[in-house]
Amino acid sequence: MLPALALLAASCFCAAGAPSGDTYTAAERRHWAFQPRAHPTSPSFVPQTDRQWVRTPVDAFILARLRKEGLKPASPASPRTLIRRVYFDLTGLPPPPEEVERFVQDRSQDAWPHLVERLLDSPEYAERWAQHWLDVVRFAESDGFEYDTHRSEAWRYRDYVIRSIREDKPYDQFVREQLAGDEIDPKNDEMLVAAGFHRLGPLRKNAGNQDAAYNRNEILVEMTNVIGSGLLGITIGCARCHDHKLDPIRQKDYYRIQAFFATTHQRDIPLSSPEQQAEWKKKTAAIEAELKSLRAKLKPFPAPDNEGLEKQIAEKEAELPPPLPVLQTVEDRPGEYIAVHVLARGDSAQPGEKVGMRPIGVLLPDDAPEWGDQIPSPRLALAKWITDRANPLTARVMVNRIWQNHFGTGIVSTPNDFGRMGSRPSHPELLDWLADQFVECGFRMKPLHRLILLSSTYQQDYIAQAPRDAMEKDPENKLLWRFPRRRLSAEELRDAMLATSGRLNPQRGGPSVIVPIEPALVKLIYNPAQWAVNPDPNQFNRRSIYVFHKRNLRLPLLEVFDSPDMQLSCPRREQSTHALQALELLNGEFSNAMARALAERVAREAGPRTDLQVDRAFRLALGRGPNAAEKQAALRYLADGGPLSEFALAIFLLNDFLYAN
Amino acid sequence: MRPSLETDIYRRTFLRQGLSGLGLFALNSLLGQRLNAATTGVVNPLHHPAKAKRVIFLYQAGGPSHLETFDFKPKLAQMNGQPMPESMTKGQQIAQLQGRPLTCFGPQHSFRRFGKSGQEMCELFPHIGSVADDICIIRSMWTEQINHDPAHTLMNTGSIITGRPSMGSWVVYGLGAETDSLPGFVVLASAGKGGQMQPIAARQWSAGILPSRFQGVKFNSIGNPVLHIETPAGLSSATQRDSIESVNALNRLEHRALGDNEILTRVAQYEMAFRMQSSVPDLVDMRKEPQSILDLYGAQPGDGSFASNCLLARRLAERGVRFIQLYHRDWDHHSGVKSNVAIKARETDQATAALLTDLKQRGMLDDTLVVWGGEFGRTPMSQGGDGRDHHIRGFSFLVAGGGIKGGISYGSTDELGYAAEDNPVAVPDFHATMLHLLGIDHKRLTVKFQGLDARLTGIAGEVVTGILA
Repeated sequence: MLPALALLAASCFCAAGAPSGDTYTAAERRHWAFQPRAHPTSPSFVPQTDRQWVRTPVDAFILARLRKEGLKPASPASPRTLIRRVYFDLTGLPPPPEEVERFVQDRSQDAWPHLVERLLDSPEYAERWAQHWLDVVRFAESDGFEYDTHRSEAWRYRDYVIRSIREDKPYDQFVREQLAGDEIDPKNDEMLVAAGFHRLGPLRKNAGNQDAAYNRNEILVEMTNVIGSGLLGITIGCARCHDHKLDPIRQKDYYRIQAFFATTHQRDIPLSSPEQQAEWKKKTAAIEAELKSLRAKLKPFPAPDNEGLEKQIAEKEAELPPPLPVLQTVEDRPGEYIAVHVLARGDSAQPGEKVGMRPIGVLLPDDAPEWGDQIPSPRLALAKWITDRANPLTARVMVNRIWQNHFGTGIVSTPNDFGRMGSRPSHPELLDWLADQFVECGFRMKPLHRLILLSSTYQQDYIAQAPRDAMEKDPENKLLWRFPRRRLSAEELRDAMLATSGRLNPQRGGPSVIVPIEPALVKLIYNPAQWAVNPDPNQFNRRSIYVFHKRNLRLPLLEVFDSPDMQLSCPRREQSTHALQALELLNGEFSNAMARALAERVAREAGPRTDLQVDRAFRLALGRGPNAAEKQAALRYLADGGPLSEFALAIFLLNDFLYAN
Repeated sequence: MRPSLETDIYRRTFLRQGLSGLGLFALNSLLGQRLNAATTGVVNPLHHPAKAKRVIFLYQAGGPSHLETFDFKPKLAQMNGQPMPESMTKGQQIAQLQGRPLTCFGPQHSFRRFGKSGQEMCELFPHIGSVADDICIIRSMWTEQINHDPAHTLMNTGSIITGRPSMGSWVVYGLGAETDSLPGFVVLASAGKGGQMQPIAARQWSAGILPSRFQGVKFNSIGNPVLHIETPAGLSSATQRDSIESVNALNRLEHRALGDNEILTRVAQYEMAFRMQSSVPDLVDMRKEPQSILDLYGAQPGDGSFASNCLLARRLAERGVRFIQLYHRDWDHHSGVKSNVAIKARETDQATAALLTDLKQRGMLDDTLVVWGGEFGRTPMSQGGDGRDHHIRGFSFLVAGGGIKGGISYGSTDELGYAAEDNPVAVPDFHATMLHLLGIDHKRLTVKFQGLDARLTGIAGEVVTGILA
C-alpha cells in the first residue's frame, strides 16, 4: 500500500539523506486517519420523501446512516428557533427582535439561504469563528506561570485571525502564514504577525533554575505539540518521552518535527521609536537605582523599619514604566543552529541521538530519509507538507472542527486526536466527502458552511419527546436524529447580555481592553499593577474577544462558564453547570449592570405598560414573546412592585437564555 | 401545559406574598422530587472500606526547611561550615546554588523529644509537639521538581503536564460531596510575614480535564469568602429568593418541555447558590465559637490568618466539605532561615495543633485525614551564609487522623538530611495512600483523556502501608 504522502516525500526538493531504517507494519499503517481520503460519492435515494429531505449531499450521508439504523430525522425547526440558532452559530450574538419577526414572516423559498449568506458576510461572523481558532492555538496575551508577563501586542495576531476568516482566506495559506510567515515575506508585517503563532504558548520563566537547554526545550515543546494536536490531530506530544504507546508515532518523529525549528529563534521587534526607547531606559534606570538603595536598607530579619521600606519599594515598583511594545515573532538564524537530539524521558539533561528534520514516518514510505539538519525555509517546507492536498490528516481535522462548531460534536468527537485512542468517525464517508469538498473549493470555509447550514440536517428541530427507538439505539444522538441543543459559550453569554441590554460597543479590532475585575482577584496576581483598567468605560462593553486574555486572571463570568485556561490547545468547550455560575449571574456586578440596562431599555422602548415591557424583554433576550404562564407570572410580579431590573435579571437566568435550541 | 401545573406556577412565580409562609425546601417538596446537588461520586460503592471521609491539607507553600522543623540532623551541625561531601551532591540538580561552593549549614534551632512516643521535633513547634502522639512524621518525602510552580503542580496533580486535575478535584470526582450547601472542594489561602511571597495560581486547584464542577472553590480569607455571595445592595434576600424560585419554576417548565436533564442540574445549582448565600455567611460567622476555641487556635476572626483558616477548615469539615486545602505562603527562605522559620512556626504551630485537638474532641479526627507539608524541602547547604535553597531529594510531611498510625516517624533522610534514604515516599506514593484511606484504589480512579485512562498517580504510586493504623 502506498502511503498517502509517498509522492510528496519522493519529490521533496531537499537533499535526501540515508535511509532512516524506520519501518511500519501494515497494521500500523492501516489506521483510518492515515489512509488517503476515500473520495466517496453521496448516497442516492429512491423514495420521494427521502429525496425531498436531501437538500445538500450532507443530508444524503446523514440520512443513509439513519435509515441503516431504522431511524428517521426530526421535523424541521420553526423559523423562530432557526434564526436564533444560526445567529449564535455564525455570529455568537442573539438575533435582534425585528430580524426575527422579519424572518418569521418571510415565506419565500430563499429566506433561509439569504439569511445564511448575510450572516456569513457579517464582520461578527469573523469575530465568532476567530474564537474557535484562538481556542485551538491556546491564544492568550500573557506568559502564564508565575510572572505572567503581558504580551501587549498579541492582539495583532487576534486581528490577523479575524481578518483572515473575514476574507475566507484559504486554510492552507492561513496555516503556511502562521507556520512560516517570516520565511514567506520577512518584510511584510502581516506575515510577521502571523508567524507570532509560534509565540502563543505559555512560557515558563523561573527566577531560580536557569538552564538554557531546558528552557529551549520547553519552547520547542510548545511549538511542536500545537502542530500535532492543532493542525494534524495527533497527540504527538505523547512521543516526547517515549515511542507513542498507542499510535505509530516514534519518539524520533517527535524530535524530527522539533528539528524544523533548529534554526528558529524568537524575534522581538520594537514598535517604539529610538527616542522612546532611550527615554524608557533612562526612566527605568533611575527608578531601579532608587529601588536598589531601598532594598539595601531592608534587614534580612524582622525589623521595625522593614514594613515601611517594603511599602516604599512597592510604590517605587509601581512607578516602573511598563515594557515597551514589541512584536513577538520568530526568524531563522542559520548561524545559530541548535542541534536537536532525542531526549531520554523528554529530559534536556539526557540528550541522545541527534536527528534531522522530517515529518512523521507513518505517513511516509518505509525508510524515508531525513530532510537534513539545515535547509532553507525549513518551516515553510513543513507547512507545505502539512497543507499538501494529499495530506490525509489536515483537511479532515479542519472540516471536523467546522462540523463540531455547527453541531456541538465533531464527526470525530475527539478533534485533537485522530489517533487510535481517539474516537472513530461517526460518518467516515461524510468526513472524507467534506474534506474533498474543502480541498476542491481551495481550502475555503464558507462553501463548507453553506453545505452544512443549507442542509435539512442542520434545520432539524430539537425534539423534546425523543422517539424511544432513537434513545435506545443512539442515546448520544451521534447520528443526528435531532438537532443537538447547546449551552452558549462563556463569550456568547457575555456578548448576548451586552447585546440584549443594548450596551454592546461594536468597535472592532485593536488593543485588548482591560476591564474591571473584583479587587480581591487582582490582588492575587503576581503584579497587581499589571491589571491597568482601561480609562474609557465604554470600552468595557466590547465583545469578549476584545477583552484582554490574561492567563492567570480570567473574567469570573467567563471562567465559570468554561472559557478555557489557555494552557493547552482547547479542542472543545466544556458545558458545565455549577453553583458559582448562579452566584455570578445573580450577584455579579456585570450581570446586574446588564439587567439594569435591559430594564432601562425596555422601559424606554416599550413605554409604561408592563405587559408591553414584559413582551419586549422576552423578545430582546429570547427572540420570542412570553408564553401564557410566563406572562402571567411576570405581570403579577411587577404589579406587586417587583423591580423591573430584577425581572430583567431573571430573564438572564432562564435556561432558555443560556441555550440555543 | 396541564392546568394544575399552570396554577402551581401561578401560585409561586414572582409572587412574594404567596411565598412568605413557604420555605424553599417546602417548595421543593411541593414540586415533587428533591433535587440534591450533593452527588455521589464515580467510586460507588467504595473500592474498600474507608478510614477517612475527608481531607484537610495544610499546604505550606514555598518549601519549608525540613532541617528546622521535623528532621533533626546532628551530623549536619557537626559539619557546619565544612564542604558538603561531593559524593552526595555531584550531578544533582540544585536551583540557585548551581556552580557555587556547597557548604554544610547546621540546623539553626534545637530539637527535642515530644510525647510518649518521643518524636523528635524542632522546639519551635511545642504545640504540635504536644499532639505528637497523634502524628506520623514522614521524613522521607521526595519530589522531582525544583522550582515552585512545577513543584506545586506535581504535588497537586501528580504531574507537571498542565491541565491535569488537582487531588481535591479527583477526590470529589471519586466520592462526591456530603453537602449540597457548599462546594465539595474548598481552598483557603493565608500569607504571613517574612520570606518571599510566591503567588499560588488557581491552576493548583483546577479540575483540569475533569468537569468544572469538581474544581476547588477558593474562599477569600478576608471580606466576603465567596465572590458575589452577597446580594447586591438594595435587594433583599426575599426578593432574590423570589427570583430564583420563579426562574427555577420556569426552568422546570422548560425541562418538562425539553426533557434535558442538564436543566434539572441547573435548577439544583441555583438552589445551592441560594443556600450558599446563607451557608457561607453562617460558615464564617465566628460569633458562635466560644472564646476558648478562638484562644485554642489563636484566631482573631476575619484576620485572614492561618489560624483563622484552620478554624474555618474545621467548620467546613463539620459541614460535609470533602477536601479542604489551606495554603500558607512565605516558606521560601533563601536567606535568614533562622529568624524566618521562627516566624512561620509562630504562625502555624499553635493552629495546626489546635485543629488536631479540636477535631479529636469532636470525634472527627478518626475520619479526617490532616496533612501538613509543602512542595519541597531545603538544602542542607547554606545559601548566602544564612539561607537555604530549594531541595527535592528529601523533606518532611506530617500526617494525622483518618487511618494514620499516630506517634510514629516513617522513613529517613541520610545523616546530613540530603536525600531520602529509608522508605522513600514519592509524591504519587503519598497520593496513592491518601486515596487508599478514602476507600479508593488509586489505580481504579480514572478518567478518559486522549484515549487513555488518566489518573492522579499516573503510572506510579504505591500505598505506604507502614503509616496505616
